[in-house]
This record gives sequence, structure tokens and C-alpha cells, in this order.
Amino acid sequence: MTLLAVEDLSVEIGGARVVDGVTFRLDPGERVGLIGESGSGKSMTALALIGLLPDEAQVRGRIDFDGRDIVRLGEAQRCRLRGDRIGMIFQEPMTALNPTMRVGRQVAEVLQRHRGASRSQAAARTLELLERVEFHEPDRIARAYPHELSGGQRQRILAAAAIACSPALVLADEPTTALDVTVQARVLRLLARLVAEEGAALLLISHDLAVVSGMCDRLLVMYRGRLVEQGATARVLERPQHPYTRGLLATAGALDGAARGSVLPTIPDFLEVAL
Amino acid sequence: MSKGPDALLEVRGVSKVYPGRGERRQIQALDDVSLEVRRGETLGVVGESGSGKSTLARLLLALEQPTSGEILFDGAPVSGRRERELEHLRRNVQVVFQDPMGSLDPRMRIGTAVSEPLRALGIAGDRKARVAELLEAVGLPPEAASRYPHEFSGGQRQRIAIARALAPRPTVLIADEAVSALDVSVRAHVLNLLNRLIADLGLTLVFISHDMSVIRYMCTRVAVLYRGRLVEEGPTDDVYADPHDAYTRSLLAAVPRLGRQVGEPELTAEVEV
Repeated sequence: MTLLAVEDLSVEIGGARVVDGVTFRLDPGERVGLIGESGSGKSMTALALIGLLPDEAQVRGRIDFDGRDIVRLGEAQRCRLRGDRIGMIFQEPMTALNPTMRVGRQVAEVLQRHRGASRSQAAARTLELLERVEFHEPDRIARAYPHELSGGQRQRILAAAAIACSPALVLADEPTTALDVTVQARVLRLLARLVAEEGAALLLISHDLAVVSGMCDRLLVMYRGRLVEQGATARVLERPQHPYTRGLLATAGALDGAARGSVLPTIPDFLEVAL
Repeated sequence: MSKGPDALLEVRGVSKVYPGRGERRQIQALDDVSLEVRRGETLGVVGESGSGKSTLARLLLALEQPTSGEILFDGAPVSGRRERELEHLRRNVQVVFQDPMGSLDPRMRIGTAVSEPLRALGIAGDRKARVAELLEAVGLPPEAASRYPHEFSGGQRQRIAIARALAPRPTVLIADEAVSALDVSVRAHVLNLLNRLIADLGLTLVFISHDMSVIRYMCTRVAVLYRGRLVEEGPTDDVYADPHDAYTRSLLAAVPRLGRQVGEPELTAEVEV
């Protein structure tokens, strides 16, 4: 059974093809990492999945999720999917959260909008969710405004909102990129635990190969708008097929192994061999 | 701290306090930090947000003054000096910041930007030739001089920022998160370039970063800052192999590594964040 099937997805913005013929599938409960550098098209692919591409974007192909094609859904139907069947976490929680609203209210709103919960039901359920994202004083946190919390705490609030409606898929786009490394470790562990508890699938998008490989069963590698490689994480790490993946692995891994000051491999070293 | 004869920059018992105003609380950015940068070494300063590492960079550059303690460059105190008394420091200590878009004026041609330190410091000579030489040193063609910052990629802009920093022939280069905003592949290019320049020009490097892997690769000695305090300092290989401080241990354990599952290493000194 397939939860998400992306078929020959292409996105053009202003005449530039930013996503080019991308095809992949996600099974229920599967954890998949989408990796690429700036301009690879990974974030545009993510935005297409939740129907949040800019208006001028031209989308072709299919995105079948839960038996519906997201590309052809109207905005109202997409809106019902987001936050309900698809939970989302983005890089910058400060922009994803409303700065003038207490964070507890923002989690509760998701429950009211998608689950028809009453205000008091939603407030009670919010406290449970805040506990699940490891806040020891959920009452106090619920009353805080976003600017009163640290980056890691804000990201945990978004995680609480993302799982509020028990989604089938959690889409996390660079969720820890703006965080300190010790905070990142904690947020990643939390995210792994939450998707496991929910039985949700995870699509984790990142430029950081070490982060995605530590979290995901399967990897998708994007380069210049194309999906150049996909496979089980261990296979991709041990036997990368595409020259770009080989280059990415060599550059990402080199820092930890390279002798101090020795010349680091760069991706063109690999692509030139291939071209 | 014992002061070696080869200490180029000395930080002696430096604290920096930013006074609170209105609702803003007072911040102790640095708390009694003593450290020396030795001639010709590559010193890493590692820390997370709020560690005080960027404050330390600004103090070393004499862009700010310490609240207490003092900083010496080449044996002479820097703290409390007037701008015209800082010429020796300004020539010799240059910096590359994280975001070259923020430090390159978008309306200024690359050639003008790269030669700016020469004008500011009143260094005579054929500036056009010097710009071409600097651009070549960082792997850019001489034609780049007549173009604008937006015409370049992030990695190229960081090369331009390095060329500008090298213009007055400094002895010390301070790199403050200089490769943190770059893709891994571009980062490798810039690190290779930095290493070549350090070797060719005999530069002393102060490499400030949150990234433990980059610090290990670049630096022979490392200083770890945590909440404004220097918690550990020593040869990089020793600190990484046998960290004495609990925070250093948790920092090293938190670094994601290829092929290691998330959640495997338990952090030893996790703080509520």
C-alpha cells in the first residue's frame, strides 16, 4: 500500500524548471530523507506536496496522497489536508508561528479547525500535546508568546501542532538547520519518537546528509531539479550510484576523516569524471 | 595564563557586559576569558548561540571594548585606544564574516570593495594591480573587478570577502562562521582555499565556528566557549579525543555523523533549552 505517490512531477517558475520529472513513493510509516543542496529543487518539491507553491508556479505530473491528486485539488481541499493528514515543520519556526498569539492557542486552533473540537476540549488536548513534546510545565508554556521561547522550544511547539491531528505524513523541511547542534540532537530524537508513536510517515528534507541518514530508512537525492538517486539509506551510503551522490558523500564525510589541512574532495572532482 | 613570547593576540581576563535597557535584560556575553593566539597557529573558537564567540571576534578586532580586562596585539594594549592609535591592528587583523551579502555593499563594484581596506588605511601602490592579484589568489578572473556582488554565487562572494580581507597583507585572519552558510560542496572549496592561503602567506588564523568537524579539520588548537566562559582549551586532537569538560563532551556527542542513528549517543550534559 502506498501513502504518497509522486509521478513525473515538474515545477516551472518564470520559465525555469526548478523540479524536473521527479517520481517517488512513500509507504505508510516509512521514514524517507530528501537531500540536496541550494537550488536542487528539494524545497519546491516539498511545497508542491502541500500545495503551497507560489501562484506563478506551473505544476505538471501527479501527487497522489490518500487517493487524491494534490496537484488538482482546490485550495479549500488542500487547506483541509494541511495540518490534518499532513503535519508540517519548517526551518524557521518564528515565521511559522503567529508572533501575537500565545503558542498554546496556536496548537489548539489546529484541533478546532480540523477536529471540530470546542475551545475547552482543544485547550485540554493542547496541554497533553505539549507534554508529549517534552515540556515539563505545559501550562506555563501554553501561555507564552513565540518570542519568549528559544528556537528549540518553538520547533517543539510546531512539532506539537504537526502531530495534533495524528497525521499520516509529517513533512519536515530543514527542521533543525537553524538550531544549535546540541538542540538539534534533541529535536531530531523527539521527531523520531513522535512519528514512531503516531505511526506516521516522515519526509525529512535537508541539506545535511548526516542528519537525514541518521533518521531515515530510505534516501532520495536531488540535484539541479532532478531526482538522481534513491534507495535504502545503507545502500546509498555504501554504494552510491550517481556521481553527484558519490561527490556529496565524499565531501560530507571528508571533514571527519581528512588530515588537518589536506585538500578536501569537492563535488566537481566527481562530476568531471562522469561527464 | 602563561604568556608565551610568540603570543600575537592576548586576551587577559576579559569580560563583556551589554547593559539592559527597558525590558531587555543585562547580558554577560563574556565572563573573565583569558586566551592567547600564537603567531602562525590556527586556533579554533567553538561555541553555540550565546557562547560569546562573536563578541570575542568583535573585541579582537577592536570593534568593541571589553567591560573589564584587556586585549593586546603584538605586545601593545588595544583596549581603550583611539582609532588613530589602532592602525597597526587594523592593517594586521582582518576578518571574514558569515554572510558576504551583508558585508559587501550591493552597489559597490567588486574591485572597489576589495581595494577598500587599502584606501581606508592609506596604503599606497597600484591598487588595480593589487586587486587583480588578490582576485587571482582566490580563484576569480580579473574581470570580476568590474561586476557587482549579486552577480556572484554565495561561495564566490565569500572568496571576494577573503580577497578584501587579504588586501592590506594582514598577519591574522579572523573567520567568524565564514563557511557556515555555504553548501557542503562549496564549503570544501572555500576551506581548501583558506588552507592554501594560510600556508602561502604564513597567516595566523582564528577560526570561529559552531561546527566541531570544521574546527577539527582546520585548527591545531581549540578553545570551547559556553555561556561566555572559556570551559576548555588545548590541542584539538587532545580535546576531541579526551574532552575534560561536560559541555565539550555533549557538544561532540551531538554532532550528526554519517551512518550513526539519531538517538544512539545519550547526551551527558543536556540543558533545558
